[in-house]
Amino acid sequence: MWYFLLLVGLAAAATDTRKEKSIQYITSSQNLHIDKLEHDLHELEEEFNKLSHEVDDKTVRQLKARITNLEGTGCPLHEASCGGDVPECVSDLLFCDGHKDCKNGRDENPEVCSLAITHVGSSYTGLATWTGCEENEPHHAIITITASERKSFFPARVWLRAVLSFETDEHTHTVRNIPLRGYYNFGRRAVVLGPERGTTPTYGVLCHFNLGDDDHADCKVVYPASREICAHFNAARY
Amino acid sequence: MKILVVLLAFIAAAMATECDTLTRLNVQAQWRAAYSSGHNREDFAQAIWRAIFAQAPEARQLFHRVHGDDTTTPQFEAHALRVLGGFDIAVNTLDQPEALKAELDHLHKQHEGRKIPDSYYTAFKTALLHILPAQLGRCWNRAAWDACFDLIADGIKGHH
Repeated sequence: MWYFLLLVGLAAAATDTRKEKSIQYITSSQNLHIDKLEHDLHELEEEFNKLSHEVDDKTVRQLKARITNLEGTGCPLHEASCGGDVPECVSDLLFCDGHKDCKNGRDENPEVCSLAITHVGSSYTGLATWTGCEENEPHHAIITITASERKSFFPARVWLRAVLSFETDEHTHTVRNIPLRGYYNFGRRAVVLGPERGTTPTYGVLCHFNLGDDDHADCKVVYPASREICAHFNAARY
Repeated sequence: MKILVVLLAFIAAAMATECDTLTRLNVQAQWRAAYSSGHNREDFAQAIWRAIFAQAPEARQLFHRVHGDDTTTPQFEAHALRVLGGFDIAVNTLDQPEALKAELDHLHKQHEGRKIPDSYYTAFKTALLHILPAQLGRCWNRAAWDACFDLIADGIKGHH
């Protein structure tokens, strides 16, 4: 009896090892198959990567902004567009003042009312090309916001102090600094700067942040009274 | 000594702008540009009143009859335009003392007895002195407005 039991046990052990081996064989061949698939996939991915990349959001935003600028808003003076699907113009005195005046409420949209542009220390620079007022070669012009204040009872404007600096002589590195004061207009996304109180009026600056973000603006150096354009530059934040 | 006093008086006069003839013309020209017309005038008035009530919320009570609790109601818009209309007459007659006096007396009669504290007039002035430059953008003479507004407000209040 004991002898018979031992025999059965041995036989079982023998079939067990054979089964294990065949399972191992199947597993490794399946793994190899997966490896091949992975390899093929990599090859496909590499081929895909060789195709041109998707355009980044920033470029699309800037393109859309340029199209919007060309289309125009149709809004009269002192008014700005509410944006969105149904065109509507609202006074720029009523943007970001805590009361929804646009039917879609966009005049109080956090993105529209972002203070990023007016942060103290913000600098916007670009290569200024002079078309009047002074005989200057193209050179860098910089506008730096030095102070900003928003009155709680009239939040539709942020009052600003800023400095306009530009190089007047490339060799001696003479730089002119002109203190300015003015405001930021949320609705029109414009920084409007004129001569600081008590200074001789030389230049003013108008910057439109109409290029799709808070970091790029279309700026002009102007005579403060007539707004005659002296120089033009495409400004970028740095 | 006498010369020094005279000199100091001159300097003081040069520093503090008075509502003199030229200043009045200056104020009139700027008012014409800011007061504008149509929708724009309604919004200009709206912005002024929002700024007044933001400074003095308790002043709304005085305007209960004209729906002061909501500045966008037609009743209040009408009132806001009426107020600016009166102010417009005052500004436009700044260079005609007799007509100005008549208008200010008229406005004084309308306002006396309403128990309007001076601080409300100050709130009106502060609102106007911020929304005017926001509307004008440039060519804004703060000192001129400071002086001439007081002249008009004093005429309505009946005291300084």
